[in-house]
Amino acid sequence: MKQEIKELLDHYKRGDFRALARLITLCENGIFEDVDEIVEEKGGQIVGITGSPGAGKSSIIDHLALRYVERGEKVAVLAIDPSSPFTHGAFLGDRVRMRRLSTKGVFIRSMASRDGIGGLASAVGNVLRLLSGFGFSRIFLETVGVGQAEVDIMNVADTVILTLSPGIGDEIQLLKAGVMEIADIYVINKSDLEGAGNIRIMVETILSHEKSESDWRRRVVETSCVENRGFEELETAVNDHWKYLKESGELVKRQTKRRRYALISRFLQKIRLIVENADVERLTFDGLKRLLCDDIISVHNDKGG
Amino acid sequence: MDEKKIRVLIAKPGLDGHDRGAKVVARALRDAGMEVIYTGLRQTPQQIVEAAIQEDVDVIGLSILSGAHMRLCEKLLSIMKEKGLDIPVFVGGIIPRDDAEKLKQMGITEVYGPGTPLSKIVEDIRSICALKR
Ligand SMILES: Nc1nc2c(ncn2[C@@H]2O[C@H](COP(=O)(O)OP(=O)(O)OP(=O)(O)O)[C@@H](O)[C@H]2O)c(=O)[nH]1
Ligand SMILES: [Mg+2]
Repeated sequence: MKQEIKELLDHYKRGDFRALARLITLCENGIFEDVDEIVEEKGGQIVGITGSPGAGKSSIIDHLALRYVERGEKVAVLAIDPSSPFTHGAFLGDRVRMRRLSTKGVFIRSMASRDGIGGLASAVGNVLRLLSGFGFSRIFLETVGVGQAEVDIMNVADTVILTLSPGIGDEIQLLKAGVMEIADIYVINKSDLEGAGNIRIMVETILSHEKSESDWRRRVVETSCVENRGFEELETAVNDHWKYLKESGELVKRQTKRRRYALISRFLQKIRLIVENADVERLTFDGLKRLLCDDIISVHNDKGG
Repeated sequence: MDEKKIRVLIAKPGLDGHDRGAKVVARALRDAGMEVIYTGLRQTPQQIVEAAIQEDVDVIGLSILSGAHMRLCEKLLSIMKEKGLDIPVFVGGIIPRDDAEKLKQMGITEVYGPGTPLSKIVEDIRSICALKR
């Protein structure tokens, strides 16, 4: 292991935010990769929050996380926003809505999706592991619910919250396949606005026609961030789901799934880099396969030799 | 392996109420391929330092229009020093020439007045990050 990582891990174990932040950067940059072999999860609840842009995900985290902080819990937030596919830059603006948290000792990290294979950044599995290993008891993961990201969030979170709001086209979103299957808790936010009731009816109708594989009865909670309403109920739902996961044995399954996802995305990322850096124009498909094998063998020899 | 991305914190300390300038700069940096963490209005120096640590940024950019730049920068730099945090700080806003000199002596890396070409800010940040590596 690199000396720098070793030293950072020492500080990390002593609860140093700065070492944690540095290690996250090293994960993102592909320098610290074998997190799963070095850091153990400590069993904090990973709560994924997804939903359309502007649905109120960050505002909800602000309200919900504050409740846990006030109970004396250690809380972290990981907020993912998309990188531009053209410039590879990113504008990460979720902190704006979480201002109250930053003065209360909550660790907030913004993350660009970069070139993650799914919708999530490829490092997200490793970063969540670092956060869990640091000892946070609740970890909130915010991601924009477009395309693959909302499916991927199921693979990394213990509890998934889907946020819906009136006035931003979520009524249409609901009719699309896939959106509804992912969540454990449905939040109808902006319930102070007209149209929230309609969304609620749509969600409940869809849920009543769907057979769930687990025994968890999916909840629908109405919230309003401007009126500070519904968060006690939301907190109860999150706690109840956590309890359910533990008692039903489902938690172990989710942890295994998360580890699997982290490993696979790390591996796919490797392959992708090899392929993208290859002289693709001059290679045939078989040539590319050979290149990949050569590369993997050389890595193998480096490690084994 | 991913090349190292430049991460920049754009913050708006003090009580003045609009952040158009800060957003324009933030967008230019994003378009230059950087990852810009935007914190919004009315941040205290303490909050800015906290955010810079958690986000592990390479550069801090402050937008100050309130006229309180001396006091805010002094406070920010002293908290950073206390925490042993060594990150270049850029300041943009309406800042008299004399004050700009004083800010630089205090430890601010560069001061940008209105009308500074965005490309210059991008170049400055790139070169200072290249130096640090
Ligand atoms: N009326 C009303 N507005 C809300 C409510 N919650 C959030 N908003 C507003 O909705 C906008 C988006 O809120 P965010 O919390 O940033 O939403 P988000 O889902 O995190 O947005 P992205 O991260 O950009 O996808 C902001 O202008 C909020 O002030 C609410 O309960 N009622
Ligand atoms: Mg957000």
